[in-house]
Amino acid sequence: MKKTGSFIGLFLLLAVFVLVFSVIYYYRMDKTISSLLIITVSRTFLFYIPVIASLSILWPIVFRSAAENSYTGRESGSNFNITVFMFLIIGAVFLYQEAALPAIYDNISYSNTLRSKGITVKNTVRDTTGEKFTMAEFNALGEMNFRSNIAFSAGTSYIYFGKMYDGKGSYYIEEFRFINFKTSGEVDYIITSGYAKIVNDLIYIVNPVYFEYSGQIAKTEKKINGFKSIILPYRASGIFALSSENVPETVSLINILLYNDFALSSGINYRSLGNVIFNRIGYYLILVLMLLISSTFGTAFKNMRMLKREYLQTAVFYLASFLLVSLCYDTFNAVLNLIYCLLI
Amino acid sequence: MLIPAINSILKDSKADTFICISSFQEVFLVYFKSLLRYSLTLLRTLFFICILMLIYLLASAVLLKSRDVPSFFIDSVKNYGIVIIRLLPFVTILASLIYFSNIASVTGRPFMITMIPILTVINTFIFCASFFISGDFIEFAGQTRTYYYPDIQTDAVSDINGYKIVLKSGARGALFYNNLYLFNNFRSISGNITLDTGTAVFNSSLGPSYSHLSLPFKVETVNPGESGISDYLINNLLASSRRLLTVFSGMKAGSSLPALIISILFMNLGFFALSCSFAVFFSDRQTILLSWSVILFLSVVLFFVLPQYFIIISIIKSGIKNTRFNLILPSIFVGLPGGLVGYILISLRTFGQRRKAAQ
Repeated sequence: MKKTGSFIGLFLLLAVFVLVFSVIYYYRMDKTISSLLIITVSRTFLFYIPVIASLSILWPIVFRSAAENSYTGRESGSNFNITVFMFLIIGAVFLYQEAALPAIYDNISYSNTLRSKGITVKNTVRDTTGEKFTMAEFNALGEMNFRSNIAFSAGTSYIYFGKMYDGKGSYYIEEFRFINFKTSGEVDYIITSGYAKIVNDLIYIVNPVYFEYSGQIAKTEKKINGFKSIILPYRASGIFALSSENVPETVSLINILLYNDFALSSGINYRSLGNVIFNRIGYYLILVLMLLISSTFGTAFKNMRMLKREYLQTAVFYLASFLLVSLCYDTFNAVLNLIYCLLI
Repeated sequence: MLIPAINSILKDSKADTFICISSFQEVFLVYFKSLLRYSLTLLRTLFFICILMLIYLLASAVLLKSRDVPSFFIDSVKNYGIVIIRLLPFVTILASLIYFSNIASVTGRPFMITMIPILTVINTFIFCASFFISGDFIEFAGQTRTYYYPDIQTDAVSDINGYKIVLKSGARGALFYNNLYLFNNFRSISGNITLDTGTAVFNSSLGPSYSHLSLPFKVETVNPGESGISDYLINNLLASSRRLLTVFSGMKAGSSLPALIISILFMNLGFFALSCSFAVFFSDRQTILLSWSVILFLSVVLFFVLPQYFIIISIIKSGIKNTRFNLILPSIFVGLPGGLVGYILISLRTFGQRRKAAQ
């Protein structure tokens, strides 16, 4: 396992280099430490991970160590080390990109909105009232994390939330609209309300108004005082998680796998989300390919002896391998870009 | 160059003519085989460069598609072919360096010194082929952003800059934007969407809302990103190849074709003797990746130096009035000393080897 240690050590060293340089670069561009600096630096770091991971696998393989010189047995141990390192890197990148980064981004934007409103205390109390709620609960909406402008389909009907607030356990809604169409394409009926609350699989609509259409004209109007509940066909957490599809930072493959029923049948045209997922899966494929190529190349042409005072050759090898690995990475990305351009 | 070698064999071997003829055949075979091996190295290097420049093909295809060129892929392949032809001098430099680093450890000084002119003749023909084929290529642009105009599907929720549109049959449907609006007269013409809203649904009432909405609908693709290193490398390489062509067209002006070829032959003799002697110093089969990277680095540097080297001859030529020899004489004047320096360097290297063996 000695080689795995050197792989990880070199990877961490290069990671520190990339992080420091990207922080300096973005700081010089912005001149102010923005709260989203950590997200920008993280994205840059994630972008360069295939390059630095393949370099950190290539360099220790190529240079022969003193311990390796005295070892005369079969050299199958190094393959195991390479595999362990590859799985470690891919697992760490997946967890960071799909679980940690969306959570960090959400947290930062939430605290930014709280700061802009002048609220210092976060609402950490979980919702306990459930379906027996009072309108006083809606006064605390300003302290909650929210997503806006959500529309999705449920069969022939369409549901719209102007704003959806995360109440930790249940969800609160402002500007609730519900429209149902006949199979001929004409409007069947409309339900509208200012406020609603989602508890489990039910939407409790506050003081709803019901309009029934016949022949493009609203014939009957019925006002209901109190709550009226209708069934929500999807999990509310899925609607909340997949609502901000236009921001690539919040896209997480884990969310899409968890709430695939909503993603499939909600009828939303996920154009930019599809593009982002295509790039994301391409990124993982490229990461695996680059690691495989660099490890095979390094094992095939590794040094047969230890170096002695060959400083120029070593320096040029470091430079040339860095440039070639970057060129290889750019070529793979260009392939990805061309494939998507041919598809659309 | 063959005659001295044969003579030396004749002198050394105290045998009859029959064996001498067979030795001549052996010498011929050795050179024939090494020529074959060099051409194989050349082909392999060409393949390597083709793979390295694949990024140019892909990027130019995306660029031409974003400009709505109908036959974008054929055009980009044409550009790629011209780029490869322009980079043929680089291929020859890299191939001769690799070839010399390979033979340095197995052959002696006489063979290497006789091999340099033979390689120079082949390389000169490749240079001329690269220079005389005309054609220009588009710049390498990296990743370009592409747009497209999608169709609005019926019964689906389409997001256009925050406006959520549900289109039903008969150009009617619902628009969600802070409120629910019912619309009719939906039209979608070449990336522009127009609709007229009729009714707005408020929190507790319905109301008339007559407004005309016109939305441009253009979707931009999200690029996977690029490191910026390939941009720098490939643009510099292509700029150097362009500079080489410019220098050559300056040399071509007012001189005949045989004179041009002879002068390039002499210039190449000096250039390749020098560069191959560098390669001899960095040849090591045991640390092959290190020696290859040094050779690649050296050949890139030499390719950047090559136009400057050709410019020297053009400058000397401009001062000479004799139109028949104004190109050949300067090239001999510059090329032969270069060849001499290369010879000295190779001798130094082989001399050191012999001393080591003696010890």
